Amino acid sequence: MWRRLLSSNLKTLAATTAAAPTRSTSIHTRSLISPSASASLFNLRHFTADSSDGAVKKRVEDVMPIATGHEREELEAELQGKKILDINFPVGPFGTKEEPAIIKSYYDKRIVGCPGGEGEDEHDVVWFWLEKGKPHECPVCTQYFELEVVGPGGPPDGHGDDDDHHH
Amino acid sequence: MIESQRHSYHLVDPSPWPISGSLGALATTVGGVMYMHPFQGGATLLSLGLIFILYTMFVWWRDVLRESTLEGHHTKVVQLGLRYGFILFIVSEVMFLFAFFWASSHSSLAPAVEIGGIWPPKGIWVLDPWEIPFLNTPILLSSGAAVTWAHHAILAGKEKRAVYALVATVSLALVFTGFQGMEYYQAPFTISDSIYGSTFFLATGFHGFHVIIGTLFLIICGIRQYLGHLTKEHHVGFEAAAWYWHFVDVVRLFLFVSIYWWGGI
Amino acid sequence: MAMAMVRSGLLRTALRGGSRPSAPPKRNFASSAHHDDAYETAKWEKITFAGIATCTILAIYNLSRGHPHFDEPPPYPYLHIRNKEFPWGPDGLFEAKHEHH
Repeated sequence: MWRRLLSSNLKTLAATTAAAPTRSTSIHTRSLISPSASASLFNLRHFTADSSDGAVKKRVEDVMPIATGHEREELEAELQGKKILDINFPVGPFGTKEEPAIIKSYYDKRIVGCPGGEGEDEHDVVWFWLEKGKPHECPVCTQYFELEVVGPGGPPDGHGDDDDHHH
Repeated sequence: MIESQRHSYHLVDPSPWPISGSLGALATTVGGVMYMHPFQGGATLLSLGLIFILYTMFVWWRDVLRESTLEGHHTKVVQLGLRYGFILFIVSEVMFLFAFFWASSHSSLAPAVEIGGIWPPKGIWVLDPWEIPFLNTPILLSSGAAVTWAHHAILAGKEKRAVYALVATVSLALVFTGFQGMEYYQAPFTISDSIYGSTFFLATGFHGFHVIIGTLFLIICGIRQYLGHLTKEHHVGFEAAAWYWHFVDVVRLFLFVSIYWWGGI
Repeated sequence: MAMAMVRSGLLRTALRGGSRPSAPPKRNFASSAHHDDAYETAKWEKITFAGIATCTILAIYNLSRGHPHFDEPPPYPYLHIRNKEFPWGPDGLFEAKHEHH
């Protein structure tokens, strides 16, 4: 059920992001990113962030004056066309050696889950650490992943423990 | 950009309320048993437990509102989790009330010989469904319409209208509860009068209890709307109250049709 | 499978909050379309007041008729069940009327 929730969402995402190129390719690859503190944000939801394309640049005060804390930071980023706090489910064409699936990360490594291809090619999610400069090939479906550090880099807080209590 | 926290989850701080709520529940249970059997101090322990639970509810939800409104912890993902949680809660409530409808149907579809083999049982004068029961149904439905009005007012950014709409919602809810009390007072049977009384008062009573819970929830939403906590961007608390209210509405329809109307002829 | 996806997608959209103004245009249920919320507000306000008017008339009609009184039923064993005393005494809290009828 949960996986279906995820994948159905991903389908819409993929459809919207991919826009023009080949409708017929039903092989959307989906990589799940762990919701741990070390999880970075993979900006795919371009369509929700399009509010900045309008003539007037909105500020948080115009949208939600009372917003504060992380909620405010999230709204601010959204208005600037970024999706900073949302966990994105990275999705894209099946990663190959020539064109790996790029996973963005704040730090030098991140937990990534590979659910395989679409439909018949789907497999149980395989979790692994994806590290900077060390591409990973999924042992089940040979999907190829690469990490792109978009943040400050370095080791993730709590050494990659799922529960992060220092912030 | 965000240096303090690089995920959108809300890692809650340690809180004393889970344990205080648990202790309150324990005291309530033990006190209730002691109260209903001839033990000394049962009433005291029961009251203490209930006060503890009520206090816990107050401070816990106060903390949640602070975390959301003043500390900004309720990001989009957190809001999604809250919605999922509330939907699951309503599902559990549906199952809870389903059990009482089951009990009622079980007893009425094949009435036992012990009650004369008929439904309502011999000697039970039932309430006329077309009097207060019928009146109360559109009252609650109007209240449901008013909560929809409030929702659209919030979405349209009409803050004052939303407060008025919530006042209308709560007023109708209070009228409903008043009429329900009157109906109970005038009822020619009690909960101890045959299986009819048991199932009738369990089902309608728990529904009425849920109406009261929903009314309190809506009153809180009205106050928060008045204080400007609810924006068109973020009003999960109100959404939850509205869902709950619609759930209570639907249960009322089933109550009217199956217990008051069908069960009374 | 496909069905499950469609349904869960809908649920997710609903859960995601239909209230964001930057909602993609394909979501066309009432609460997401920002511009006609004012219209919907007015509509539901009218519905509410129509409901209140109906209920008031019904209530006046109902209350003006008074309520019937019932005879005491025969003491069937399944009526007025008492297995032990209440914590507060022998009588039920709200059934003094039971004896007076």
